[in-house]
Amino acid sequence: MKDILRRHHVLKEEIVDILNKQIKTEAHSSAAYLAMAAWCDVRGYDNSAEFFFKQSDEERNHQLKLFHYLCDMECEAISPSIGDTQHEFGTLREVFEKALEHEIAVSDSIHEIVGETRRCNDVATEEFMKWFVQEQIEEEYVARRALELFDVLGEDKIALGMFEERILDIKYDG
Amino acid sequence: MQEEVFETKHASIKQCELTGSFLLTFEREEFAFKLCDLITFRKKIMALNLTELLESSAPDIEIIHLPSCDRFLVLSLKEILEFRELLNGTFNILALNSSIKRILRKSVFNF
Repeated sequence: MKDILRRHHVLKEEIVDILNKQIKTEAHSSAAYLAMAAWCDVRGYDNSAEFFFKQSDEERNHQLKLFHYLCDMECEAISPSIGDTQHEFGTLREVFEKALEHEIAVSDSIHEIVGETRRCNDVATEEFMKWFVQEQIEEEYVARRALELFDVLGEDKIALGMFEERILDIKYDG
Repeated sequence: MQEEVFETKHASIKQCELTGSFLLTFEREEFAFKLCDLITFRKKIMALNLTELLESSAPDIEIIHLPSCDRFLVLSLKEILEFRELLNGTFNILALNSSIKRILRKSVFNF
């Protein structure tokens, strides 16, 4: 009997399910960052808005990377529905705090996937996920550094202006 | 050429070696599935909430759409249970076949 299962369905069901869950998480992150960008934009924090628009695009790219991987493996990639996102924030600092919380949650779910690939002995997907692990190190670093800027500069009007000048310069050189 | 993968009292699934598709026979009707469609079908059958079906005042049937062949299946509770047995059995045999083929590949290619 021909091994059609191996020929046409490379990944195990558990891996397909967890990758589809991650696609949904990334889509939700992209939408959440878009909401943050909108909040910043209408309040005149143009650079912070640009920062979050860029983040939103990145999350969308992560989503597509996972989506294409599932398609390439001839598995079912599910285009996700996105629930409500938070549109109201008290301060600029609160927006960045939410952003860091978001990145930590995404990192946790990426690490869970890596754990699952090891449990299923899926070496190929584990290798594929390495890029995401590295990416999350960078994402978390940037979000953390942004919050640290508030600690250094404070939150009065002048400090927020200085924050705006610096937010787009935060880079991870690791 | 078709090879039977698994059968239950009223249904069976065969694998077509030529087209790489699966043929589900149920009550003298035949439904053809690609592997990805069969996986989706299995997910649908497994996701049905039988407790909810039993507790509701509606008739104990579920209507399943099969977009790959544009057909509908109207399944009773008993038939849903039989389909679960059929699909679980099929995927267990396919996984077993994969494992045997993996061992054979090793010996053929002398890995």
